Amino acid sequence: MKTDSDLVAVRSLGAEPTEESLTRTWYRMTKPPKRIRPRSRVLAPVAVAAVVLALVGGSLVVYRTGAGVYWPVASTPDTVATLKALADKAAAGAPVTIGPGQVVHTSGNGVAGCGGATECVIESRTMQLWYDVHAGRVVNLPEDVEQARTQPEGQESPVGVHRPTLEWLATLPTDPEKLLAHLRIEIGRHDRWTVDGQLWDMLAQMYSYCELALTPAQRANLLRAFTGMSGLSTRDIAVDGRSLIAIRHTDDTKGKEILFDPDTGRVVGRASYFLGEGVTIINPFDVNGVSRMLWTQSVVPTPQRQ
Amino acid sequence: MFDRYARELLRYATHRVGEQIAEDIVAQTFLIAYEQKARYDPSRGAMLPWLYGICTNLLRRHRRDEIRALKAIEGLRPDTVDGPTSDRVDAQRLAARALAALSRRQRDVLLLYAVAELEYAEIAAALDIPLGTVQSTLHRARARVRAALGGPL
Repeated sequence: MKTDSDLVAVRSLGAEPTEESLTRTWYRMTKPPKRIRPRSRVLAPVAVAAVVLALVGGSLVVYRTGAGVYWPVASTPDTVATLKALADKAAAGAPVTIGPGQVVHTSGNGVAGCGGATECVIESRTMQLWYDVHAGRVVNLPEDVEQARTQPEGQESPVGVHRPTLEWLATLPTDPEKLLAHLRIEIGRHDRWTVDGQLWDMLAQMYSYCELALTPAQRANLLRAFTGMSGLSTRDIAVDGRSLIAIRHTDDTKGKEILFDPDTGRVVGRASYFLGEGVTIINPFDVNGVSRMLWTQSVVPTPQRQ
Repeated sequence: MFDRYARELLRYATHRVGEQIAEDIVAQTFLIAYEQKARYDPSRGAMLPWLYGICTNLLRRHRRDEIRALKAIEGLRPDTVDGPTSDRVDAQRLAARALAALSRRQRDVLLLYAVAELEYAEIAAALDIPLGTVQSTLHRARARVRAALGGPL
């Protein structure tokens, strides 16, 4: 680096770009341009004829853009390579058996933000979660009910990515493309967020419930399916001296990360980031973002209610 | 290409027009590079200077934003802080004033040299100007900044 005083003074006027800025740049580059309305409808009949011919001639893949749908673009190339490498690691893992009367216990530590529209205060958080992967239900003890995201029986959503069970996991397609298509259909539509943004969020929740219940093949299949998602980027992070890989989905002003162990390809946590402006984040911790939770999972007997 | 060059381009653009505009500019740079990839001639130099050239052309549309940012730095008050910080703010104010007073060409050349750390030949390739023009422009630009900082010409 040139160290002449005038060059140093010139360089001092700017700052290093942040990881968030780099992610936003990728997002802006891959975001499709706004659709421009044609000034004339002269060509409309020609366009209609072309569409009809295309439909008659073969299958037509329609990528719609905008709220509630997904971008017709790939994730960053290094993310695809990272996901494939994680899939290879995950496929080599050992399966875990969860018998009748057993549940997945998740114990987590981290931070999370809460607050109003203009301020977000980051606080320390813990998580204790017992998930019955046979029934697809959180079964926390009464004293833990505040931390359980349960719904009254009879009002539960259908079994699926929102409510995974062993049976549902076993029925998932093994082909990565079909698996991703299946998950995208399951996730449905939302007025504001992209399909892949919602899917990534629900996958993070699914992992927090029952990552341990996945077979090595299911873990690997999911990771290979993610290579077809849009809006993903990757980075290496260190948490408490532990090296992890964060795969982030960026959707408007929200960045949501699923955290992977590079040695096993398994999910060990999640994190979220606010990439917009106008919100003051009060963060007393050495954590970049508005939430981060690392967890460990184990198979335990179903907790007995008193 | 993005993985390899985006951070350097973003540093350069952020330095000139701030984070928000820089993100748009760098995204556009890659889109233009992709559209014009047939125009890239490896025999005329590496890809990074070519990308800096596209980026610099795009930055010209934001000259007012750049000057506004420089004038904002120039307006900082060093007397509100003490010690080394005060000296640094003072140097930044003077450098910002000098940069704002440079011609567009001088600013392009100086920032490609100081921030992007390109060599003379790379700057010439990026801006599509003769090597001698780069040398003379850079000499004049640096002389003005040094003079503003109170150093030797």
